[in-house]
Parts: sequence; C-alpha cells; structure tokens
Amino acid sequence: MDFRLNLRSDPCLLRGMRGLVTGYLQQYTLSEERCHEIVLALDEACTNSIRHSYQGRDDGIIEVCADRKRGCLEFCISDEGRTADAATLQKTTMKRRSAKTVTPGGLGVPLLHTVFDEVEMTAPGDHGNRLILRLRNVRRRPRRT
Amino acid sequence: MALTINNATQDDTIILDVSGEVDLYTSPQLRKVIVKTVPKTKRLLAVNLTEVPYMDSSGVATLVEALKLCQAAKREFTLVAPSIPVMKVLELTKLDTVFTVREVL
Repeated sequence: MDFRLNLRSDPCLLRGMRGLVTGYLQQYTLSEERCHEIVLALDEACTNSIRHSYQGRDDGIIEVCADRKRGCLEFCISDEGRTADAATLQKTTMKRRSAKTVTPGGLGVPLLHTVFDEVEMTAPGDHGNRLILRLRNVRRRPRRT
Repeated sequence: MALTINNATQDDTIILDVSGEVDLYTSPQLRKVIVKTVPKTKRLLAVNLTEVPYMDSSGVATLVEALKLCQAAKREFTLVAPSIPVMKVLELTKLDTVFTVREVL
C-alpha cells in the first residue's frame, strides 16, 4: 500500500486529496495531462461518495488508497454510506451532446471509464461501497541516486 | 485557494471573471452567482475561465445549467478563454462543442 487516506465526506477536503494524489503521481512516467485526468477521476469518485453514498452528509468517512501491483496502478475508494446500485457504475461511454439536448449531471461515471482501464465496484458487507480503479502498464520514474 | 467571482458590465454584456478551483465545494458559489446574474443580462453572459486551474464535473454541470438558463431567457452564453484544465474536462465529458468559446471578448 503506497498510501491510505481517510477523509471526512466534506467537499472542502477534496482539494487536499487532489494535492496528495498529484504529488503521488509524480513518481510515475505519466504525462501532466494524464496525471490531471487521474486526479479528476478520483475527485469524481469521491464526489460520488459524498453526493450519493452519504447523500450530502459531511460526517461520513471516505478512504482513498493507492498501490502499484504488477505494473498496474490501483486506487481504491471506499465508503460506509448507502450502497450504490451496481448498474449505475456499468460501463457507459460519454456521448456527445448538443447545446439543445444537454443536461447537467451524469458526467462522473462515464469519466471514470474513460480515464481508467478497469473500474470495479463491490459492496463490502450490507452497506458501503468499494470502488477499485486500475491503470495498466504504469512505470515508475528511475530514482535519482 | 478560495473561489472569487468578479462581475463587470460592458454595454449589453455581463462578464463574470472566475478565479480559483471549481469543484463540489465551490461550484455552488458559482451557481448562485450565475442564477442571480442571468435575469440581469441584457444580451450576453460571458464567463471568463482563464484563471481556473481546476474544474470537475460539478463545475461543468454548473456551466451546463448556466447555458440552459440563458437559453430559456433567450440570452447568449459564452465561455471566455477557458484554461487548459477546463478545456480538458470539457473534452473528456464531450461537452467542448456544446458551449460557445471565445479567446477574447
């Protein structure tokens, strides 16, 4: 486990989480653009926990973990809120919309699938959610000696 | 970094200069300003996003809502000089062609 972060489900704490992940990703040979996409997707996952699992309550706990396993970068976002319907996290492609038909919302889940190679959701026990996000073929930068 | 929103009026245009990160914490503030500003707009509401180093989908949803409010009020809505991170999230959510984007007003 490279890091485990527990944060209260308060939106004001998301910025700190983004900063931690941004710093963490510097050790990998990922472009700045790619790092931004990953941070954005993790932010979306935490936002979903706040909005849907905890329904806006700021007293829940969200756990964000990061690890590198067999060349894959794996993030796990867990919460103890209302268990999401697995169907809501089914892979969906981001559809192009027009100015006439566009509506706000429904952007987060497709974004997860766009950024990560694998998106897996499980419900540990009778409540809560555990979302695993994987990126394949991620290499560490050579260490300076 | 708190979100700051300054507004200026130029003839029949209201310009909102947004500065700071727009996420779940700060997007309600932007939304509130936009909802109050649309009824005061004579022709065009322009949102300057040059100084926005980060925007998530809640920020994008706020912009979509602004677009819909302007459409309902028969006003124009445009984004001005969105930063690279803002353009990136619009591209990722395939909304980059939904908004009118100008580099200068």
